Amino acid sequence: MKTKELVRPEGRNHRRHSRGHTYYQHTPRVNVQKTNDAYILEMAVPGVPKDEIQLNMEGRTLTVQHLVNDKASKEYTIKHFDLTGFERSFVLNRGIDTEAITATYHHGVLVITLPFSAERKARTIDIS
Amino acid sequence: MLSTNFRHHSGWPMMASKFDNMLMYGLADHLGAGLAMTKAPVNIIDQSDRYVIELAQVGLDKESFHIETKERQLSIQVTKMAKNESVDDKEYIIKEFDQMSYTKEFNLPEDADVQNISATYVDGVLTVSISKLSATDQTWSRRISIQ
Repeated sequence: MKTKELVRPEGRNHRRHSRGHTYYQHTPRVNVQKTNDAYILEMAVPGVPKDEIQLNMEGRTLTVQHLVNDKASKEYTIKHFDLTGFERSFVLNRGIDTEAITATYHHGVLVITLPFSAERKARTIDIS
Repeated sequence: MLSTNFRHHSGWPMMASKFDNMLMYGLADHLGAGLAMTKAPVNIIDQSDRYVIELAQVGLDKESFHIETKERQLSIQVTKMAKNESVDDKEYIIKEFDQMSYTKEFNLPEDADVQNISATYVDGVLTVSISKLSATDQTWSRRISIQ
């Protein structure tokens, strides 16, 4: 099956920011794994605390965003990453039970479990 | 200014200059999703009283880091923990980041106080703070009186 039919990231994955000759990572990177009963979406959000992350489901679009009140500016000599205020969305396919989505956070990794809906799960059919 | 060296544990040496990084990140932009980034990004902040190095390395424990200084070189060794889950039942659909063991080296400037370095690991960022020597502490900034 093609990626876009399953969990499809929306928009550009990495914004290119030019300040002099420096490009820095602005949007979090993700890994998506498929297991027998769910997709496991891991998002690397270094420097973003758990309580500043918000997950929203709207229709079939899952949006993960960083809620930020004020953007503190630091004087960077070298800047390779700054995820302040990020937002990344994923279009979920109909095989995912959106009511049963769960998320955990561990040392900068947000792990979102997207379970398959009952119809999607493999099952045995009795022969009558 | 702080400068950095980077090498994989495979032994292949890589010099990471600012220019190299520009090329690499530019390339990553063009390739987009599917390119697993194995190199941890670094921020360096030059504050009035200290240098701060921020290393983005998510998903580890603080025991995974080994930081040491040798003369004026600071090295950060990152060791990936072995996962005990089986790989067989998982298939990657999107893979944009990876974890690996590596060592990152920084050449410390003259005014860095190598005796006064602290580190924290919070929310997937290793922050190393290196105090600066004040002007009076530095032998090279002695005032020479005219006789």
